[in-house]
Amino acid sequence: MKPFDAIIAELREMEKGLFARGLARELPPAPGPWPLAGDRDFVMVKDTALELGNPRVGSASFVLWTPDLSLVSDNRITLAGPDVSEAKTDILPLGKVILAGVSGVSEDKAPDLSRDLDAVRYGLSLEGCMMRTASLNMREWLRISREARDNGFSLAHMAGALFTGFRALPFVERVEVLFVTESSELVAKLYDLSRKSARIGAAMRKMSKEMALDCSECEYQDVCDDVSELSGMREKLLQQKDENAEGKS
Amino acid sequence: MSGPVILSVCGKGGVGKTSISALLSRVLAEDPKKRVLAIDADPAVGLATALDLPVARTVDDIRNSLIDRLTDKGGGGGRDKAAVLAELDYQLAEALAERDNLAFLAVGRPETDGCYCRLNAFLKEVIAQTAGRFDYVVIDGEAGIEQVNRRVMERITHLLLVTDASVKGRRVAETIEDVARKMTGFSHAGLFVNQVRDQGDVPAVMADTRLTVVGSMADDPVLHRFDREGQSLLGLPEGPSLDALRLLADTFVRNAT
Ligand SMILES: Nc1ncnc2c1ncn2[C@@H]1O[C@H](COP(=O)(O)OP(=O)(O)OP(=O)(O)O)[C@@H](O)[C@H]1O
Ligand SMILES: [Mg+2]
Repeated sequence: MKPFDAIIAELREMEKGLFARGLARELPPAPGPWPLAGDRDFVMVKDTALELGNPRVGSASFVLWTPDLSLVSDNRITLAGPDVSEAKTDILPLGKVILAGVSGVSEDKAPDLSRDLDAVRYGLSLEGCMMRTASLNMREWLRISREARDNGFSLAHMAGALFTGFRALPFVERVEVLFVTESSELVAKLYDLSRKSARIGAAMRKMSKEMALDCSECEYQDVCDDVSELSGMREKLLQQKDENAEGKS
Repeated sequence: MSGPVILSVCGKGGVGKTSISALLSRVLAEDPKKRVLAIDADPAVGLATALDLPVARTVDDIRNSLIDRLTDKGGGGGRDKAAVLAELDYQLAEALAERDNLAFLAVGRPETDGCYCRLNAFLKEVIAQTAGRFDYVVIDGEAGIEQVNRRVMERITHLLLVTDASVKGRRVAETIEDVARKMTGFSHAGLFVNQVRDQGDVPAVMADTRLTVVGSMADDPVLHRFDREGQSLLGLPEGPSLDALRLLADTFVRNAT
């Protein structure tokens, strides 16, 4: 079950280009964890040092998972563009892609997996960092307070918190994150990738929930044609349903 | 840290709820260390004009846009609670207008029965959570009280009932207080007498109500002029009206007697 591998390949191509042009670099891990904010923090505009992914400049934020662990470089943080302390403006676009290498995930558990991974993202709350995630369209909007910036907050801190959160899930073996703050154009490219992954995610949710599984009626038919893994998932689900039905009668 | 002061301004139509909500928000925001959230629960969004803040989106707009997108057609089918809450939180942040330490949220059309109830429940949760991040929340509560978000309503700490010198005004205030007592856990309720034209007005109200009078404001020709010209009350010059609201803020809201 590796529905996102083709997207990961596209992402790697893009990343290669960024490194070749000198736009991307690897970030060292943060010196320590950043304090958590109990309730989800709210940073007002007047206290904001830097906004990332404000709807005006664009954002793309999503999680891709794969059972092929060789596709994920554990603990790696890649950044294309300025980090918090390097920003020359008070507003930057934001691209954030989390790659998770997973094990022991069967076809029928795939939709739950995406949900659990997303829940880690939504639940993250760091002091002086307001994070808002639009789950329906893969957007993310951060406000970093002056205080947090002055205390040295870096995207590496966010990465560290994400790594901790993801690793707490039993099936996650490896985690990696890529940030893009360089330009709205680059983030828009990531956004195109995010749309593809969103359609795959939606198709999986639909399959797991629907009884009929009639492909000719389904709006995600094109997605399943593209991603052969999904057809496999469907077969498994149908098989299970049959078994359940037999078990009942 | 204790929770925020959540104050709802209620009363008969036209007694000055919106004017008082705006002036009170302004006065409370004079302390730069405090965060103030003004919520306009009136579909006519008068408070936005009074505070000179833009209404880009209302809570009702959010609800409507999500009802469509949370279906399979909209790509959001089968979403779990965490995902929907995250989405609402994002949209709410987008709907908040801010100027310095004053933020503003418009409710728009109040929720009606039969609209997507799971979404409404989540919206209430998110609004209540957002409100919890401020020091003061001032709700311009339209005429009644039921229309306002119940989840926020449940957390009201201060009920400010506004009346003019009329008997009807104070009877409506008393009825609202009765209803509110049943559904909210407010700890302070007070009656504010507005548009006072005569020295005898306030004593007359006091003599004929069980509610505690916590302040009054005279009929102010400058307020009249601002209203006629559609000017924001943020520009209202120093004078008796602002003084009355500062006194109210000190004695009723901050309880600094
Ligand atoms: N103390 C005052 N002096 C002079 N005019 C006032 C005073 N208070 C309110 N007004 C005026 O009375 C009118 C009604 O005030 P406002 O809109 O604040 O009332 P409201 O209770 O919010 O009304 P509604 O029930 O329609 O929402 C406005 O024209 C306002 O300018
Ligand atoms: Mg009004």
